[in-house]
Amino acid sequence: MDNNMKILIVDDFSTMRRIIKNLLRDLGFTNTSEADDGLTALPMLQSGKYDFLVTDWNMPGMQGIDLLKAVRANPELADLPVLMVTAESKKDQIVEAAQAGVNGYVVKPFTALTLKEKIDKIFERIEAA
Amino acid sequence: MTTDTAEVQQPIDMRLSLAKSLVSNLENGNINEVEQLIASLNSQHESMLFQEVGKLTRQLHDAMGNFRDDERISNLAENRIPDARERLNYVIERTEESAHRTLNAVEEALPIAHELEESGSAMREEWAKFTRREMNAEEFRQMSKRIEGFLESVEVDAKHLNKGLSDVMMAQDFQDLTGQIIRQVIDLVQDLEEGLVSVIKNSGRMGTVVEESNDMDIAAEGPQVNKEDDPNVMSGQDDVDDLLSSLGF
Repeated sequence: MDNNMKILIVDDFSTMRRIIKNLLRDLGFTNTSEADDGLTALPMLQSGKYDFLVTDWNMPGMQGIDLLKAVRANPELADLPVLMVTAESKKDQIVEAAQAGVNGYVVKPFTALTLKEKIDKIFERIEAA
Repeated sequence: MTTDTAEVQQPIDMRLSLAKSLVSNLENGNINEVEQLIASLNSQHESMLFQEVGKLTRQLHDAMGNFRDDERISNLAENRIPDARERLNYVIERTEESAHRTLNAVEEALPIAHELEESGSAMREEWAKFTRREMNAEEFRQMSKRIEGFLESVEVDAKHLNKGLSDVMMAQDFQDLTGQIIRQVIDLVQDLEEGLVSVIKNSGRMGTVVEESNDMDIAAEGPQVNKEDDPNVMSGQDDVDDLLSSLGF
């Protein structure tokens, strides 16, 4: 896992973006950017060569699930690893995200350890593939 | 509007003719006629009052009917308002929990920082004494021991402070979770307002039923407030992990 990889954090709450940004920094990832919903995130992803996307689900404008679908539908972004960090915790929502091609799913409230484990797992799988 | 004026015009015409004949009968001194005319004017007035009360009663009845027929309003009253109460309680719980988490971390960190400050300044004084060559061999040995102990405790204390500060940071997640809930309650208040306005507007018309839109898409719902009651809701990260691994993750 490259500690210098470029990560986009998408959440409509700036407090949550800061928390995730700080946790990622603790894990050694300092190359992070932020967006407050899918509509802002998508053009950043298209032009910015990101290596990893961490997104919330419930956001005004474009929701995280639609951002995930848009990423998977775009040939240039289709392989981008996506971790969802969200309060959405219904079974059919998680199934929906899985079917849309999410790489990991963390429910809020979460711990620093959970975030680390899910990120590790995502990149273990990618490196093993 | 035209029917209203016609309704009003008729009794006015009638009362005018009654009044004219009252005047002529008064001039001619027909006392019996005069008394009869005054009584009939009175009853005219009363019947108009009854008509008005009747109209208002009818409007009230229709409005109540609309209130019952409006599914959106009954849904608001039966489901969404109690639900909002639960959600707002969740907001209180989460904010209280976060405040305690923050205060706990601060209460643990403050004495550590205080202790560090005190032993740091004591150590600095001793070190100054040493650099001024005012320290004998025995005192130096004791200072070396204390410096060693201090450096060890700095390492342990820094770890504790780190953990406390991380706790303070993670406790701020309440703002996102409660913010989502408060937004939902704001939406509810807005729907309630619109519902009430539409009831008032429809109060003259019967049977206006506002259909609840039935969205089949997967929609975002925000934090789940009562996880125990709904088998469809995951109770935590472990449940989510189990579900995902059953899907081949």
